[in-house]
Amino acid sequence: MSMLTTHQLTKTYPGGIQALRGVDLEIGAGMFGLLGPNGAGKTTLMRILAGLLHASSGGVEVMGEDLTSAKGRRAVKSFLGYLPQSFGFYPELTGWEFLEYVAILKHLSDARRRRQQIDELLTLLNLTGVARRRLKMYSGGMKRRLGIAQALLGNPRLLIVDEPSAGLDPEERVNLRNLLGETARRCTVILSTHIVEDISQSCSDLAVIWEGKVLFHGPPHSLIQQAHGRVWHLQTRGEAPAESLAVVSTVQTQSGTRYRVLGEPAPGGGEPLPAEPTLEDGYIWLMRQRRGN
Amino acid sequence: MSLLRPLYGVTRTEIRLQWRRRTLLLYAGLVLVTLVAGTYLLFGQDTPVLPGSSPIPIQRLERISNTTRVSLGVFPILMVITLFTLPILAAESVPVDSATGMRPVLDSLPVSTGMVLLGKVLALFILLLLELCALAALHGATGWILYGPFDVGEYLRVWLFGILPLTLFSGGMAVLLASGQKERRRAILVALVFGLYQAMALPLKGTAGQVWDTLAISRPSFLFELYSGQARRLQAGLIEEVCSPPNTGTNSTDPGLEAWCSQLELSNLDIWNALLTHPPMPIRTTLIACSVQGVLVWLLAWAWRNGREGRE
Repeated sequence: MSMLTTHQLTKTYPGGIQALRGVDLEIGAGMFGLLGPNGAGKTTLMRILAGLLHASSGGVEVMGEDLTSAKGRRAVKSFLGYLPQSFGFYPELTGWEFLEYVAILKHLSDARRRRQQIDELLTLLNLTGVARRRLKMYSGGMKRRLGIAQALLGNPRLLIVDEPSAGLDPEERVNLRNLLGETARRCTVILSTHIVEDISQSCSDLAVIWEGKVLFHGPPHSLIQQAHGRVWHLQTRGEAPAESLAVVSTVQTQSGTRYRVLGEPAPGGGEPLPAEPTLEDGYIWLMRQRRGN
Repeated sequence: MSLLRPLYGVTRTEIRLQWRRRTLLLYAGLVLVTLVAGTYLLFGQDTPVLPGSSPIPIQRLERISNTTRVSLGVFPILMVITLFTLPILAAESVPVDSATGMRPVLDSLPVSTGMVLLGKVLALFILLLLELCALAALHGATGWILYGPFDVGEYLRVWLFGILPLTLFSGGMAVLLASGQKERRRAILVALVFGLYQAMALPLKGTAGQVWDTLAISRPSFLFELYSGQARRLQAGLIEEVCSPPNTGTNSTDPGLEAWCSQLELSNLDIWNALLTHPPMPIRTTLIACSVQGVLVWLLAWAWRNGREGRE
């Protein structure tokens, strides 16, 4: 069942920059990943889906509400949780005060329930110990986790998170992935990132966006499939792989250099061994094809 | 109820933020120093100069003189401080949301722009109200100690009908006018321009000469009649009391008394001249004018922000 639909969505900023060029998407329940390089239009799309930015043309429908109308935007905001890519807080507030403020603005009017939910989220995001500390004392990771907490307040039916794992350490990233995965059981989660691993570990559906257009939309295994038979491990004694190959990773070993490369047919030189493709390989292969190399 | 809850949330948080930022405390401190030190420096050593003999007991005259000192003497200076510093201190209330990065979070919440704006203005009003209450008490107590008893009713009337509306108007307008700015620097610039506009609107007619009057042709001077109205009411009462000896049947328009009163100088105020050249406007008219201007600016700020919604 489709929870969110965009139809020929375009966005042109003043100055003529075209951020989106006819985006068509259908997003169902569960967790949806949006991948793309920097400047691809991911954040523009997320901001439009969150009702913060008006599209230049095209339509967006979120759970039956038309986002191009003021009424629809108001309705969507009542069940939305949103974590912007770049954001900040009032440094004079404590973490707890900030969450309480957001909870009140999200119409969580019952004080007991509000406190309970804030405490639960603080525990989930490992922020209980610093809840009474002023926000100006928070580290980047703490701020990011607090941002996630505010997005989750009020049990949103639609959660839009833009680069949620930026600035988090590996353990926090895993926790976040689990938390988002858990949340996706009861609401639609749209995760925008350029960290492929975050999507490969948690999303059942994804889209790749590039220069404002959707290059791929489907399940992760379909994207992985695109790189099937094109991923190789290449051991050399120091010489670099051919320029036609995309180098995914480079490891220095005692016997030389081991590369993970993408290309077809099998690369010459060294000892190429076929490797199992990952989502990252699929993504890089797709981008490479699009760029014409 | 569902509308009041977010309003309460914004107002409470804004009060908390303003308190912790200390900007309005700075304003209160500045006002207190100006009031106490200014009054003392200007009038502390003066004694009322009363020409000839007066039928009024000297204690009553001293009380009137003290009332004038604590109520009117330094308030014109205070008004200028209020009109210039308060808008600057209050103006960043909305732009700070963009500066701190809170704006995208607020924009995604189910609360309207107008509600946030209203909450911020309301918070400013509450804080200023509390501050002015404290300032009136502190300044009054200091005046009582320094100069002796004065008429508390008249003193409070000047605060209630003069300083309070002027302060609320100045601060509230600054918040609304600067609300369309994303940067603090530009908000302060708007506040400065507003301060200048307010200075132009000050009812200086009769005290600053023809040049100022010509410059201020378009000034909405009625906005500031509240303060000057109170001042002149007090002055008129004083003249009536001093210049109309009981049981003589004469009044202040008597040519002989006018001559006597024209020499009257109390606490450096040329009261007779001020009364004749600029009669006060009724308080009701002034309040209506302030409200109309406030509503217009509110609509302007609301339309400005609404028009920009979804375009930034």
